[in-house]
Amino acid sequence: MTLRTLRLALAAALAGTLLSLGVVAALQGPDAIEPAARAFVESVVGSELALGATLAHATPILLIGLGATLAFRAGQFDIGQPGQFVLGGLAAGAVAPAVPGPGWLAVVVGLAAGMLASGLWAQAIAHFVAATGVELVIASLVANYLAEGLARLLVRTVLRDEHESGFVATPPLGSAERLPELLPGTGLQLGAPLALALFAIAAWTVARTAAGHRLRLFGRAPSFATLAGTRPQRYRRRVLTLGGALCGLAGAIAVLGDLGRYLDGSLGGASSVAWTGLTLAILVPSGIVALLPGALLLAAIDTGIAGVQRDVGVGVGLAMVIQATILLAVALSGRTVVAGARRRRRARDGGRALGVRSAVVSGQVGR
Amino acid sequence: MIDLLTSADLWFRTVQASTALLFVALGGYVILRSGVFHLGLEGTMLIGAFCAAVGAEQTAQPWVGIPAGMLAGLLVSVLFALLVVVWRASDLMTGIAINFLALGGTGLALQLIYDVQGGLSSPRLDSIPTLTIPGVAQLPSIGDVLSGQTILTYASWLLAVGLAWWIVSTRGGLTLRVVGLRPEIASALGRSVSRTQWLAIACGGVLIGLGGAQLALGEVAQFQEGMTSGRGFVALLLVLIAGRHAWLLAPLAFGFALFEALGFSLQTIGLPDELSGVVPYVAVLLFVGLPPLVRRLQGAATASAPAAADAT
Repeated sequence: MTLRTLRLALAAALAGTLLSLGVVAALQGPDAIEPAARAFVESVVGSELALGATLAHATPILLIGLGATLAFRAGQFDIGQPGQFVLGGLAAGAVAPAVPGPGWLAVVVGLAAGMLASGLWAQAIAHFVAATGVELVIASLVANYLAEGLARLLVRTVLRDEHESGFVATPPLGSAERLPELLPGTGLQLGAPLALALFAIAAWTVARTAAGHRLRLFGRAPSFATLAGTRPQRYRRRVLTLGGALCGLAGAIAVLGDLGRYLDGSLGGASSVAWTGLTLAILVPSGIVALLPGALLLAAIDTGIAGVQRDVGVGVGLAMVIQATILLAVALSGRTVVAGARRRRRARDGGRALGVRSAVVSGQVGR
Repeated sequence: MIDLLTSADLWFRTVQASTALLFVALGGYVILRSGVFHLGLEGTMLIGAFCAAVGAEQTAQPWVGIPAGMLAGLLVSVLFALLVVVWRASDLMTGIAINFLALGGTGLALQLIYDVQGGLSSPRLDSIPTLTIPGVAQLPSIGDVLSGQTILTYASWLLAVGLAWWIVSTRGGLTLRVVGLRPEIASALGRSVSRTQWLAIACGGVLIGLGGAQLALGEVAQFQEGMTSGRGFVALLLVLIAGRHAWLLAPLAFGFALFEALGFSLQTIGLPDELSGVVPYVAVLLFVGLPPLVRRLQGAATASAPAAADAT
């Protein structure tokens, strides 16, 4: 099941790569294809440095993908990850420099601040959705723009480092107050194994424990889960908060790791890595395990294309085009992750009565 | 603050900015009413803006940008319809993919055609000429706001009125609504669901492309990578807020544009201009959230009334 999607994603990635070679040929002439292909491979796995950079880039993708996947498994189509990523980074950048005492304390407090800020943000969205009945996909989408707007406002006014004139950022962190680098010069730091550990814990929890069973049950049959004693509003809120905290952690790792401070506009925008993390979650239709190879694949595409950009001079837009190709291939294969879409397809197939009945049941139980 | 609200400049810029939003919202509305959820409005608009800018630059004729934007919107929508209506791909994923495709693809195409990165501005690129409407332009205070806009602005108003009328008063509008709400009834009545959705997506695409053209050529003629910066998503929100009432689209687009323009003007009264990235979205959340909240509270009030009667 997940294996099939993964195979499909690989095939689409290959097709996308061929497509991008075509683009390279169109832009730079056919002679550029061979250097472009070499630049791609070399900047993904060509050296210790390249491999480290790829793994470093996979870290936020994996964490954000994990946060989004947990929400998806509970049937919540939350796309608020980009905003949560930005707020987590901002909170870490604002809090860590102000922590007294040893450097490791600043790191720990910074990571916690990032998780807390984004967790609370996600919880606020969940409250908003529960109170108004607005669809989560809509509310979380607007929340992204609001979060980015707020981050820009804060970092340019109250959180700005006044000593810095060249650019807008929070105060810089000393090397002791940052996540220790594992491979100097690559940006690979302690955040990567941390993300891997969280991924392993989450995969095990979802597959093997009662909590994981509850999550999947709630996603597939909310009314049944409600009958089994899950309080839907509260449970939804908790899952979304957890997902938000993971995205906030990703932002905090980015700031406490290779950035060293929160730079205005560094984490957000339409080309934010958080969208890649969201893509990853959409690509993995069930389970958690396939997130890891998926994150590595998407990270490899990004760093590989960045290498092509550097050596051959063809724009980084290619990475997004390849991502779009993969998404389209998976969308076409008809395997949909998203609960809303599944519901809609069922309604289209004429199973509407079923949906209505389950809604009535859950409504009665909810009251 | 009073000075701010009475300045003709603020209202002029509001009308200017609301036009692109209104076009995309009108296009998105037609598509949503046919029962398709199009998350790719943002990407379609971006490609429309890109093609409008390129068309205008290549010919050094700003007018050419308008059909170029329409054609681009149409082509992207044909792709979307092919995937979603014919091949039954998930509309949500296809929409997200189109956004990626647009963002990456316009950047690449910019490099392919002009060998530049980031954006396109050129002396050959002119904005669409504005129209001075005789009679209106001389009106006190509102003349400066209503006159001197591009032809696209006036077209968008006509279209907004036309669509609101068409969708409630014609057979075609009825078919569109039935297809969106109850496809099984539509096909039982002998109306083709997929053909209606095809038409809706194609026409919607043309409108979204017009929005892109206004964005690229309506004010300062230029193209920037990712220049839509969420406007497509905002338009989608306006569509959802409008719900069954198509006539709400124009006031909603105007309202959002006003909040945006106000945000930019806040620095003149001593507030940080970064508020322009906060205020409109807070306003949108209020717009989206308040009506259902009020309905829900009213519902709770009426539901608890008989219960209270029982208790006594």
